[in-house]
Amino acid sequence: MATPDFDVVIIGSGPGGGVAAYVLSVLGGKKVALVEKGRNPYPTLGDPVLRGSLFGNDEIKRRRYFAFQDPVIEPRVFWDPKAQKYVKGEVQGLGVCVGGGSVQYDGNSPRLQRLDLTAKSSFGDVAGADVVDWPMDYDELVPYYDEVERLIGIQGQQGADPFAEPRGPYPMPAGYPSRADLIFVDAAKKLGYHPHPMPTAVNSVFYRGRPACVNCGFCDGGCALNAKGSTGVTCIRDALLHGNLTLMDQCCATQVLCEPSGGKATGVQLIDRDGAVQTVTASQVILAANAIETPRLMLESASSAHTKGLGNGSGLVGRYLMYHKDFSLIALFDSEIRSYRGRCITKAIADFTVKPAGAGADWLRGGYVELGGQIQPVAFGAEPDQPWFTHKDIMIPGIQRRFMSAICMIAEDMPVKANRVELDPDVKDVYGRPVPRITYNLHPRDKRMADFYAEKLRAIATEAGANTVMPPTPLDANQRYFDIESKHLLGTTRMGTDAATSVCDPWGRLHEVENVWVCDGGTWPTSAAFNPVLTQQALAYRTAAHMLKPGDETSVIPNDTNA
Amino acid sequence: MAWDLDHQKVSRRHFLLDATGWLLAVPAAGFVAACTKARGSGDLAGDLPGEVPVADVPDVPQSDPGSDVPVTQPRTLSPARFLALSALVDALIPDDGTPGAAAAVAADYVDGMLGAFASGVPRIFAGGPYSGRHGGLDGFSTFVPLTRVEELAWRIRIEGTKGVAERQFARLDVGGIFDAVGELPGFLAKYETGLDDLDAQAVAQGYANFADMPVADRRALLQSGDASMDVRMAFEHAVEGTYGDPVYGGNRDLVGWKAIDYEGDRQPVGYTARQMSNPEALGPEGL
Repeated sequence: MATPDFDVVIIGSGPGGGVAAYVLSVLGGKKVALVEKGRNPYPTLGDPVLRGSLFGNDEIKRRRYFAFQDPVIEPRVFWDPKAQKYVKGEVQGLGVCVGGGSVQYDGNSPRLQRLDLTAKSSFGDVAGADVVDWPMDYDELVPYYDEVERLIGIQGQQGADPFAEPRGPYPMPAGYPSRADLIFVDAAKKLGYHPHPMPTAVNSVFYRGRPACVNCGFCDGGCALNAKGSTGVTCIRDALLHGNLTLMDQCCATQVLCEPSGGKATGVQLIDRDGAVQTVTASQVILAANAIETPRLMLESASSAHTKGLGNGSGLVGRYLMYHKDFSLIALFDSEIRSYRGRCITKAIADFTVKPAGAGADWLRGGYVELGGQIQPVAFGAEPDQPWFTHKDIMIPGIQRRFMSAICMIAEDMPVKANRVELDPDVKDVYGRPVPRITYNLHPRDKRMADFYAEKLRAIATEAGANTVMPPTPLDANQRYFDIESKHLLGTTRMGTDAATSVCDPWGRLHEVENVWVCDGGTWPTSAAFNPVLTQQALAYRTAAHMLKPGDETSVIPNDTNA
Repeated sequence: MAWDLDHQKVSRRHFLLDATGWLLAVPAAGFVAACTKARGSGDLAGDLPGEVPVADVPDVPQSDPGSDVPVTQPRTLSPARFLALSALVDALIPDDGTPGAAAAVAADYVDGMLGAFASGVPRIFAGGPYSGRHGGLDGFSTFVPLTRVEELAWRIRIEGTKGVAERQFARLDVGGIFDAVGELPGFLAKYETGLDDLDAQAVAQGYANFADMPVADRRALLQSGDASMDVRMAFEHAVEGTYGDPVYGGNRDLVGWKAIDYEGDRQPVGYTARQMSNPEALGPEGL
């Protein structure tokens, strides 16, 4: 048999793929190919000195889908619960570029709580959902959290969140808070909550060759300074400098190739930047394209040995899609806020993730709460809900820029089998691939939870002195129940010990294919109540460490923290 | 204007001067009044905006010293359609006491987008990371070459699917589960037919063309739903052309940002801790 081109081929360069590429190539000495559908927005990536960026404070470029999923060439079909029909368009788009979803995200990087991994044993079964415990203990994650925080560069304040699990100091101190977040802090304290600096993958000081953030306020367009720790400018850069990594940007994987028996993958087929079909062979395959794109690729990779899709003997590939049930309010103040100045989120509270003393039987676990929020003028002025004929009445006073802030809860949603990713039978993308067809409806528990916390969030804003809170009380049911703003893609290749009820084993390896692994949010059995990227990165590190040294995974983590 | 937060006195003085200038200079009647005035007084060589001899037309749109509103030459649309487009964006974001899309020359933004592929490097994605307005080199002006699929995306957006084989996946009716049918129309065709219809409707109401209508009547026509113009599309483009970065055309002299008291791009200086978190430091006067 011919020697494979690479030891490992990784599909997707986002949070999971980037970390896995670093561990395998730098620490494991493996020859790794990193296949990324999008462009490389870092023109000097791999240069030992220069650190370029094509990102800037440019709303137009962001609106034109630069380095992002463009719905014209990559549409999705999704169920619209309000219209009660499938529609075609833009949903759950993430960065399509080197760094993937870690490029345009806020950088919010909290760790999970122990409770997040024990949803079933802590809170019991939920009718209509398949709630389970994770096939690992929280303590197993801790060394990977520590190392990923060092690699990526996380700012925060040790001990500031009383509900966080015990931990050591953050690699960087917390940066300055923004006014949009500060305005809620005293009110939250007065109501008995515990606001603290949001752990964030943004440099507060010069760190590992990257500058400190200057708080320009354009996090969601990609960082112009490389102060945000995308996997592109951290792990992937380090791996390119090390020399074992081959970056294949603008290459779209279209199929995972298998031996005829189906028990082992041989590589991937892809469409390269010129449109030519190529095959990359490898001894191991990692799928890290996100929890919509990875099951899509697995379903596309059906073969005579995997008739329902790669590793889909259980029929669960694509099922249990979770987004987090996030819901937010907007608060207007008499005093100046200027929410666009500063990082997206600088303060948070975790009080709604733990049952308070004296809470009744009707208590439901909520989620991590982001205090603050921002929007730039073009995005606000052109929002679909803004009528053009009253545009200047809103824009000239500058209400949203000068006087507005927001509160958003990132709450756990239920793993429901019917919420799923399939292949659309008709609609194709620019590569000729069937697009994902997404069906997602909130579980009744998610709606009860939203009802439970809507007024608590509103109380914080009111206590802070907001003169207006939108939506008004009671929160409009459409907004509360249907609007899904979160892009936390989770659950569609859930891990577990039983091949009949899960797709991956506890290390992220497909039950049915011995050398294919998943390193994105798809492996999460439940969605937890916190922003997922840091945990996704820790899980990817853990999977890659297991690939290198099964049974002795933590020995892969270098002792020399200057590495 | 020196929009530099680190040079407080200069910045503040210039801001006040500029603010006074807007109040004195910007006519309530907006773009069309300015055009009419210019035409009537013979300030320009020909009818606005397209009949100036080509040799006299600069690459970069310039202000007309004889009127209160900058005048721009179209690069893509015909002069008549560009006039209608200018009247359209003026109606959508009028200069009604504060500068709007006409002062920002948002029509130039739209016209530039429609002709993006006329440039060697299509003018879709400005470069990075800085504009140069706050230090550093101007990277914005060096547009980013498109990848193969990005070019296809933007050709579909601007030109439509038009029966081209490699664009057929983006037709409206692919899948058969959607309401719309047929080829996906591009921005260019939508503007051309929509602007022609606006002119036709204006003529039917007794005006010379759409730009000849008072702004209130233009707004009423757009609100009536009688026009075939995709008003939402045009409005979003007008917003982009008024408050987006000026490297794309539009937001002339940062007039859109000044109008809404917004600093715009801030790299590489960003905001200091005091500017972020201290209400006493908020607002241009406090910086």
